[in-house]
Amino acid sequence: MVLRASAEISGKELNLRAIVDRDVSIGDASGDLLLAFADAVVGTDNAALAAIQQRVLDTLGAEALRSAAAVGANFSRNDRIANGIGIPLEREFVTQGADLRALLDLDRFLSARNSLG
Amino acid sequence: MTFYPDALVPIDAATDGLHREELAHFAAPGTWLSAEERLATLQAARSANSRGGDGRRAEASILPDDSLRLIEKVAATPRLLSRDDFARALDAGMTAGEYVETISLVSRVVNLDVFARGIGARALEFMAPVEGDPSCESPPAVAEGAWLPSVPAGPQARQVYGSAGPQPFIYRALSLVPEETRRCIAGGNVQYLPLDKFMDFSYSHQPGLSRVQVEIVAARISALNDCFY
Repeated sequence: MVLRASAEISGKELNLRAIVDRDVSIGDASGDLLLAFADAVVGTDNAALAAIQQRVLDTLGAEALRSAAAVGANFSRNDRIANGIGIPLEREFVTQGADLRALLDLDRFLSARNSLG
Repeated sequence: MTFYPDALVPIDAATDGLHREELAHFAAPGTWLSAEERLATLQAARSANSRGGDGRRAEASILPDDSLRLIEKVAATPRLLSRDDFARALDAGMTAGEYVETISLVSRVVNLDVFARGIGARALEFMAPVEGDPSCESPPAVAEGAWLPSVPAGPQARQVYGSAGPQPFIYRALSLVPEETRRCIAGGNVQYLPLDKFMDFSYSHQPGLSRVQVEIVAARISALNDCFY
């Protein structure tokens, strides 16, 4: 939901389906690169990660690589806390995000039970 | 000198300082766990996550098998966590406070390790455990919809969150153990954005990335972890 809101404010039209389906493009070259970085940074293929890191450096720069690592790590922590404590999504977001959940099929997540019952 | 001398890129002072604090905090006695138990938790989490959850166990541990199973699942396969895991941990004798502290420690060390991997650096070495007793800090908490009680907004919240106002559930999640909550908030303020900027969807706290780009990384990581929240 925050991604959709920030995209709307910046005037970017993104295919948010790319968040859960890596066979489709998000509609923005740097976005696709950052999706690939996210996959690689939590994966185990060191060669793939090294190649993506170089592409991020070449395309977006050193600060972007550091920032992408920081954000990816931050959400790796937050997701474990959310799933491990069983927190529900705030009620207003459950209502507002129904269409996006359907698009991304998020209700299939085991952790959806904590919010949807 | 930076904590990450072998990184591919320069590391800013705020992140460097945050991670120094994380390592020192890891080594200190916790709220419910001793420093030795905390170190064993961190080692088991790092080991499981680095092997991608292959089910093998690298070394002997002072922790019981039930605790190790929980730690390994949180570290390596968080998408599979369910209320049954929480119930099993408590049935095996873990207290609610110990459970929260364990979830937090595992999550926090994964944060450090993913960051190090992302910048092309070696994982930080843990410090030796510091002697002392757990603080046993226990705030007034109420049922708010999670598996465990949490501290709601109000005067008592100020000590936990630094503010009496409403907090998102991701910050209330660990509030049964206030010290872990404070570390989580400190991490978010540096590695994502300060809470008061959250609803400003054009604001980015991360140099080199727009807010949209930040949220693309965040959303993909959460999708990989099957995190509905």
